[in-house]
Amino acid sequence: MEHSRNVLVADDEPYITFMISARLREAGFNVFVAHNGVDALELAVKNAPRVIVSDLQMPRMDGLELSRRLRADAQTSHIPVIMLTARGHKLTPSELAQTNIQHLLPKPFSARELVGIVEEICADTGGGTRDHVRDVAA
Amino acid sequence: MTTPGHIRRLLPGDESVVAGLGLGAAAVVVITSATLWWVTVHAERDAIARGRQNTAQVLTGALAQSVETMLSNDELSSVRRLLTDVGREGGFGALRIELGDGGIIADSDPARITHQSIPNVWPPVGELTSGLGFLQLPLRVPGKGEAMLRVELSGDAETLAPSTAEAWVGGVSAGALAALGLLYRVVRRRTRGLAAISDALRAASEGEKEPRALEVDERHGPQAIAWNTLLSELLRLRAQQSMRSGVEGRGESSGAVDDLAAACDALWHGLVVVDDELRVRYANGAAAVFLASRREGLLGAELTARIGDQEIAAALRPLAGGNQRTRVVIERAIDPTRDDAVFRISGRTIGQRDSGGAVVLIEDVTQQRVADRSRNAFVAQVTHELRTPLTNMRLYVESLLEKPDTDETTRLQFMNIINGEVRRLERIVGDMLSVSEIEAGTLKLTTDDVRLAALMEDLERDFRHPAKAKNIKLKFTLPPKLPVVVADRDKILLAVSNLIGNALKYTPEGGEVTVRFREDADRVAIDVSDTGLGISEDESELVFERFYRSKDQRIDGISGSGLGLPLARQVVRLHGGDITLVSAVGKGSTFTITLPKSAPLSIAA
Repeated sequence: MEHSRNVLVADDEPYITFMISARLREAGFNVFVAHNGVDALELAVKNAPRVIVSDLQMPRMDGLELSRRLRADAQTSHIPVIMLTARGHKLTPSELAQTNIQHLLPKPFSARELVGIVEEICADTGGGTRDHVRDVAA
Repeated sequence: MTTPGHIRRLLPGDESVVAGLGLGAAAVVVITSATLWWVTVHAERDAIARGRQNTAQVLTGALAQSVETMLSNDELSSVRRLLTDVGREGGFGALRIELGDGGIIADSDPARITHQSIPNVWPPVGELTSGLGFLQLPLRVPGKGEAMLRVELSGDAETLAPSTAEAWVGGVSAGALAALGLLYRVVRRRTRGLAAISDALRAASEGEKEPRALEVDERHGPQAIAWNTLLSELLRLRAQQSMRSGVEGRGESSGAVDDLAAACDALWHGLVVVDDELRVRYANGAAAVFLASRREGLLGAELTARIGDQEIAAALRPLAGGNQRTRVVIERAIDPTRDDAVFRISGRTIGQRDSGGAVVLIEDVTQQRVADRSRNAFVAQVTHELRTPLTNMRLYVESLLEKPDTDETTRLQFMNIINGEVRRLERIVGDMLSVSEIEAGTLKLTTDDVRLAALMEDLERDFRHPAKAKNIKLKFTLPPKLPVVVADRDKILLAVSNLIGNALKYTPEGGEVTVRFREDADRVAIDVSDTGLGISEDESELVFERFYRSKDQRIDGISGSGLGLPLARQVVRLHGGDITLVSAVGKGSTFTITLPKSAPLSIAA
């Protein structure tokens, strides 16, 4: 578990990635930043992060497609994804089933809350539970 | 086609019925009188005949005795005289004495005598008979044998044969009887038809409205046929009427009906009136176009068959039959050549007093659906656009609040970011307000002297940080002195902001965005150039259309409301200026705002 503190942050809004990475680093995580889905997928394969925080709407490849690709690739299929999304945005159960998404966090969100969720996932030695997703998605 | 004249010929008038009845009555009187007369005459004649026969029998009995005596004395001449006298005086027709061989020895008419003298041998006389009008009496003459006295009663030939008058009366009576029989038959047949018709009228008064149910059996005669003809005429007229009035309009005159039909034809919506079996009774011009049929071909055709679509047919079926209130609405593409076109088909039963049926409306709602989709996309985009600055504001304010010991430089940087995001939010809200104002036609310019130098300073401050965050070089290349123009400051700021915001959005990291200023005698121009993706020739005008989003795959995931450029151009044009575009794909774009220096001509929106 040498990469257990690696976190990948993907969002096309620079102010958001700046603040999220700053707060995660303060909490002791190693943070990698991507500003589009294609870069994020590449970094996920290269750095094997413990958690990925991704925006839903991104250039070149959106968050949903990114999560599907992560799920499909054996190298990354175990990495849980926290999806930053618009409030009220619904993902269907079949959409969720094909992805690694474990948490839906609606914007605007609190950085403290996000760091808490990342900490929680890292503390969970098991593969984590996807029950959260149902709760948030519902 | 049956005409009223035809019906009149079929139905005899009342006067002929009266005449028929009179004739019948006369026949009854004639027959009764004739019968009475006949019975009386016969009874009387029988009595006379019987009386005369009795008298004759008494007389001839006495005569026979005298004759027997005279013949036994051979007084033949006396016998002959006696017969002549008695025949003349007694009112007898003929008297004669016949022998067994038919020979006549005496007769009231001497010319008929065959034996002048009495023969010696008298052959026996056969069986004697007497009948109506004649008598045969035996004469027994001792020593001679037997003979026969035959008496014919006078006048019997005329009295006993049927008289001419009697034959005439009988003939008339028989004729009258036959006429009466015929009349009876006619009257019976006629009244049977009338009875059936009165049954039908009773059914009608009890609520039977369907003309077909009121028809009677035509074997009941011409009245029945005429009645049925009248009913079918009624049906035909009704169908004609409803076809003309179309929407059941209660036109007072045919003029009003024509006006209504013309009005229906002028409708954009397809209007179809169907009967209770969904057969078309009326269709306006638009309906014929929507159903791709000639209107004449639609009349009488089944509507569901004309539409052809199974789902629509199923949806419309509840309209058939009953008079109960039914409404159906379905949205479908009914034109296979335009599968993007959406039609709304709505139907409603029209419970007429005398017939069921429905009115079906066909509307092309394609434009509405397109507008709905655009509006939904717009709302989704706008909420996303609003969410991003809100998220940034929350994140940076949260950080400042949680960490009071943040160093001054970072604090200032965060405050600037928050300020920039507040400005961004303002712009978005401003855009939305302007859009709604433009849509409502209430956008007005509030013009004043606008110092372009100050405007440019504000813009530079607003975009400095976003540019830096994306590592884009934002340059303002301006002359030392900028003019003052008469304009709506907020609207011009909105237009230029949208251009700079777009330039930053579509320029990759490390690129460059430059703002320049030019002017001539009566116009000023602001150029916003970038080293971004560029816009293809095909799309150079489309980007100014509302809600247009480039098909360029390179902008996938870059959010935009599709409102910025159309809005910017609209407000600049309200000032009497314009926005133009020069672009090369892969190299970048230059948007130019030109504004007149003088006061705008079209202040009033």
